[in-house]
Amino acid sequence: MQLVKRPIRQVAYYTDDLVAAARRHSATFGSGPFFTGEAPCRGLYRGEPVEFTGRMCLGQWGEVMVEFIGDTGVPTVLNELPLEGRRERPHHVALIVDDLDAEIARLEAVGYPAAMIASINANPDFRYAFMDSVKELGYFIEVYPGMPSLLQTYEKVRQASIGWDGRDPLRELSR
Amino acid sequence: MQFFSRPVRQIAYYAKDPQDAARRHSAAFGSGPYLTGPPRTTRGLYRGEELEFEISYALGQWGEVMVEFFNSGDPTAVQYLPLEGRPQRLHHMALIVDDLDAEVARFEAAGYPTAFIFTEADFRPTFMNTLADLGHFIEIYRATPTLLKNYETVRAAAAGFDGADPIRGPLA
Repeated sequence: MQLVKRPIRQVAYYTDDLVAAARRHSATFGSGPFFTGEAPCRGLYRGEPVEFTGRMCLGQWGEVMVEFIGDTGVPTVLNELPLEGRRERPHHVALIVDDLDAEIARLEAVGYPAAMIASINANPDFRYAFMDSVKELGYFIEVYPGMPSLLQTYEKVRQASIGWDGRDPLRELSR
Repeated sequence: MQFFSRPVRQIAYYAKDPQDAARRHSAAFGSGPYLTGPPRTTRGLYRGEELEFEISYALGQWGEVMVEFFNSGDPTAVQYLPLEGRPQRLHHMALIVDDLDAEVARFEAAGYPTAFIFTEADFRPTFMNTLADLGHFIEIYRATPTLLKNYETVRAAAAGFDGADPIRGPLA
């Protein structure tokens, strides 16, 4: 029997305040340090072209990465789920795959259609997708290919957490 | 010196049908196999009042974390996070600690009150109300041999799992 293994690599929350959410999470769970970054992106959101700047804050939480994402200003999958008075809410879990298009097709067959497929302007070869599992799971599934730039980011965040003493909980991803 | 660490150990979903949700999660993400707890009556404490209710669950491995699907008549689980027509929803993430009382006090001091305590298990699962910040509960339990054995049993079952027989017998 063929089983497709897709370990969870990241849990992500949508928030109205990236920095405050990351600081709170670090103080509560010892996660971090957190790296903030912005990425102008373009893609298709529910069939329509969209351009936006993704804003994120990334830290290590045990064996998984934790991400906080901020409002994109224009409608995207990233600000689609309402906060309903909360300061943050679960938005997605992320999977790293070898073949993005094959994974999109596989998850669509499972019943999770693509809500947004986009790429980073500075690195157009890097495409990622959000699959709509909201009706079943309450959040999206993000899938991206294990390209060197992505794996380097995961490694940077993990390495920074090892032996971290709590200083400088917020850093810039690009440095 | 690591300043302190509370790694996430489990992601848990409240599910209409835990075994059905587990089977579907396994097919979609390769998690499992799932060890199950058939419906049984247990007890808990909610705001100082003892409650009796039914609980059932399915536990599997998903990468480096455990995943749980559970169903219960625990009114706090249902009342705070209603399913709203979904078959399941994210309910909590779990932490394992050495000193449960100190950890509960630490959460309460941070503004996260105790929502519910399962009183039967020796590892005393305690739910902290973090809904306003995270949108889900945090479960804390004591690192007793029973709990650590449960985690190890679930992890060991996943080694070499090929998708056959994703729903298995009772955990203990």
